Amino acid sequence: MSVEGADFNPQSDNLYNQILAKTREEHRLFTAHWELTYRCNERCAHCYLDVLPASARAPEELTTDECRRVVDELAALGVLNLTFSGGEIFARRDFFALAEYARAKRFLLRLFTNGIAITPARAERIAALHPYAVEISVYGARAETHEQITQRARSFALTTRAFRLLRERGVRTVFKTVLMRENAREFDALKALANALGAQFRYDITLTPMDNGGRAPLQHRMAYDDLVRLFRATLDPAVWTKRTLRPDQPTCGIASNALLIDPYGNIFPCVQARVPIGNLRAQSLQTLWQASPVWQELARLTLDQLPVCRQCELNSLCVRCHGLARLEDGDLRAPATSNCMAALARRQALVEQGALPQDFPIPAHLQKQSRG
Amino acid sequence: MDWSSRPTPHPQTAARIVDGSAVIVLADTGQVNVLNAVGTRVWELCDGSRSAREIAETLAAEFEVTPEQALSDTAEFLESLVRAQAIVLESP
Ligand code: SF4
Ligand code: SF4
Repeated sequence: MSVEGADFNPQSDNLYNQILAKTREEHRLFTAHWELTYRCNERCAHCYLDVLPASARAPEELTTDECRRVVDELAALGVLNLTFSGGEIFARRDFFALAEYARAKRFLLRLFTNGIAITPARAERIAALHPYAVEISVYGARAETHEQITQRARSFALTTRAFRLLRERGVRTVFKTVLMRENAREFDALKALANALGAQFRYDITLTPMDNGGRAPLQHRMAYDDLVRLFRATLDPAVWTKRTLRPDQPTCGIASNALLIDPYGNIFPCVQARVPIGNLRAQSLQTLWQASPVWQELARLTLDQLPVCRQCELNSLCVRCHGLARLEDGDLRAPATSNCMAALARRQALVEQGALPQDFPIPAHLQKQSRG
Repeated sequence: MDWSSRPTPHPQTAARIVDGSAVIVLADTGQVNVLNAVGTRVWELCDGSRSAREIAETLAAEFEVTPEQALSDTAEFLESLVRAQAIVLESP
């Protein structure tokens, strides 16, 4: 026996990346995103969920005991990363019971919340969970903008208080925003606010139709000019002009090492691609993970399987999402309209910066949009 | 080294065994650690149910080394886990 090389070495990021890559290649479950409830104490205008009031009864949600069983199954399959999200996680009275149970099983926890229910006492209990991060949604740098989206009075004050309460207790926080028509011009102020709150800043430009097909969230999308402005300020030309996609490679990590669980025990590949896999009340997680044919079908969605995208001149400037394509355009293999718009805006920003030539091609199906 | 203490995971620690290697994440700092075979075995034994001495004895038997060697290697490794706040030594 020798502990040489077995010393506790904080430099093993490389080994960790190798393990991650292996879980992806071998379709081994390593990460789970779990929507614990669709009840929520906010009413965000852009939300893709058909949320219920926080106080609603939701008898179809997995019970505490059923959730514990799912936690056991996730641990048995080797999952390390577990995200709890909603709705609003604190709308579940048994949230801490579940999270504490999961921590006792040594999951690395991430919590997604709007923060408004985080009191000093709850912040204490969160800190005791040692989550990897608590990710809190903020939609404006000012109360007015934020509450225009959340449709809940005082939510800005309560949400920003949550950052402070957690930070005082040493909990890592992420300030997460979705850039929209309403807040796109507050980008710098949002970043500054995240900084002042001691949180990591993260933003997304994706707004999706509702899971029930409703398209109301799409009216909040940033205008094309705002997208170009954002990309001008944020894109690193050195990265984007060198980016290439291999035709035989998947365009995202779908169906590799992660899945989504909804409050009723339904399993899906990810948040956006709600292709049904099965239900945990009817079948074990292991069976659903190993036997469903859906995983293989999705993992085969390489660029060359996407009839329009594979020929698209902008595909190296595109962060395409199969799930979005399915929701917006009805087909996993189709171009996703909003991904197309973003790719076009990236092209324009890079052309304006001189990083791409003026005549960098625009695919035929986007010629009309590019003329406005 | 208090040989009667019981090594147990630190409350911040997240961990899974993947392909025979313990992947350990220190949630508070975000550090990731991957242990080799011997380290992984020690980690598995650090579940709060046995003393540091029992861990060393188990390793001596499983890895065919002298008890002295096992004691000194175990002490060194457990101390590094304590320093990294991956485990705590619970008093008996
Ligand atoms: S389909 Fe979309 S949400 Fe799902 S893994 Fe791919 S890029 Fe991500
Ligand atoms: S820009 Fe549109 S067509 Fe081109 S790769 Fe992206 S989603 Fe596909």
